[in-house]
Amino acid sequence: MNPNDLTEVTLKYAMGWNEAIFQRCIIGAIGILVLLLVVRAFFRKNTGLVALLLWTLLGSVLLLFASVPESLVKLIISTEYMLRVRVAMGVVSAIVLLITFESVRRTRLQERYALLWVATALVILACVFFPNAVALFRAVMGMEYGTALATVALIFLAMVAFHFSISFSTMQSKQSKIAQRLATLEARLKEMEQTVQNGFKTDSDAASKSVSDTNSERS
Amino acid sequence: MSSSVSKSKVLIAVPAYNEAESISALFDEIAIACPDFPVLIIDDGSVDATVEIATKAGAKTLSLPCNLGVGGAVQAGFQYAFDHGYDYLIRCDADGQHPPSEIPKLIEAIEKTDADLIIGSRFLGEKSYTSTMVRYCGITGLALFLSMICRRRVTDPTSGFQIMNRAMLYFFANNYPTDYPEPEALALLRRHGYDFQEVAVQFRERSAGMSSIRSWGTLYYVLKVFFALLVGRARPANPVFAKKNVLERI
Repeated sequence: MNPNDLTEVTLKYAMGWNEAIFQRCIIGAIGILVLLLVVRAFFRKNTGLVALLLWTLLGSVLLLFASVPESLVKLIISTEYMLRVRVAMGVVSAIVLLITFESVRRTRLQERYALLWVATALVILACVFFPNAVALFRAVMGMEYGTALATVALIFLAMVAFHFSISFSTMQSKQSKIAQRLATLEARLKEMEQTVQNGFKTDSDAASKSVSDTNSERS
Repeated sequence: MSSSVSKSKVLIAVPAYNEAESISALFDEIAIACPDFPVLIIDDGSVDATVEIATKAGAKTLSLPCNLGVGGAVQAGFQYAFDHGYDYLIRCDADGQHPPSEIPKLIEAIEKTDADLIIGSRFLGEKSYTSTMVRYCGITGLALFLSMICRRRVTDPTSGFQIMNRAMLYFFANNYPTDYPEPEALALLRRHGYDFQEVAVQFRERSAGMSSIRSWGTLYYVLKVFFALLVGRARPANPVFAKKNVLERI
């Protein structure tokens, strides 16, 4: 789609949205509610920082959507398509980096898995700062910048997914070995207990025998 | 000052992964150098005759059901040693790089100082140990960075030739990094109030088998360790395992 058509469509949409007072109020109310809950959770300190940041983002976006300030719409429309895409993808990769770092810091994610995610975010960031890096895609596939960026992200995410598949396979085979070893140990333990029990039984049999002999002699 | 090591309960832990060729010779060397200390072979899921040869030679064995890597295997050894009441643990690798004849140097060092961990460094004394240029640069860079973080002189961040006391043993039994653990462990132990020192030892070339860090993998290794060290700085220390809180429990 031609960037100019996109501008017209956005403008038309913005004007239409201006009229939809009821829907805007609902969305605005939800946005305000979300932000209030974020403030509450922040003071209670029972939610992670990353989750709070994401909810704040959601609440602010909803509020922005509801208010639709003319100046903001004009700003967004007036900025060049390339700039909009670059800013958006830059923000997304920054969020990915932040979430990854925080997860590793809280030991919820191991470094070896985090490395691929960091690589993905850094490559996207590199493409944001140096748009000509994706020139190959534009030349060969005839893709626009935004599509090329999405393709790069897709390739890296595919690599991450494949890495996970390999990790799962390795873990599965290790799990089998551990389960088999556990079963073997339990069997050995049971056999040992049985041997010990039999040993006790033989002793107690011998003991009770002598007692009953004594008893029968008495009676 | 630490109490005399020879009067305490000491275990020599040898992590091994498919080292059937060198394990027998190593055991003989240990018997000559330190005849009084029991040896524990930690079998990291070997598929060769490592365990059989070790048992025949008279060593204790700890057989892991699957391969965990050097970090996991060595930590299993730490847990074994702590549970069995050992006061000191000496780690000596099975590939032949750590000469058992140098073990008395480690023992002497831990008796003389207050350090919880003594590391045998191949780069401290005369540099007769050769390695590839790439590896040397990587290790030196890492050593400088670690020295800065730990506020202690580090020349050999990846050396596994170590002796530690019971407090350090308890800490590592509960907190030990998984892949390529030696550098991360140093930063971790300093954050929790433990201390370490290096002592110069001579290493040998690897007698058999392959190194777990191939030359081209050095860059990935160094990057990964830098990343882990940086993130480790951002984590709070766990007071449960800080040295001052551990001493009553062990």
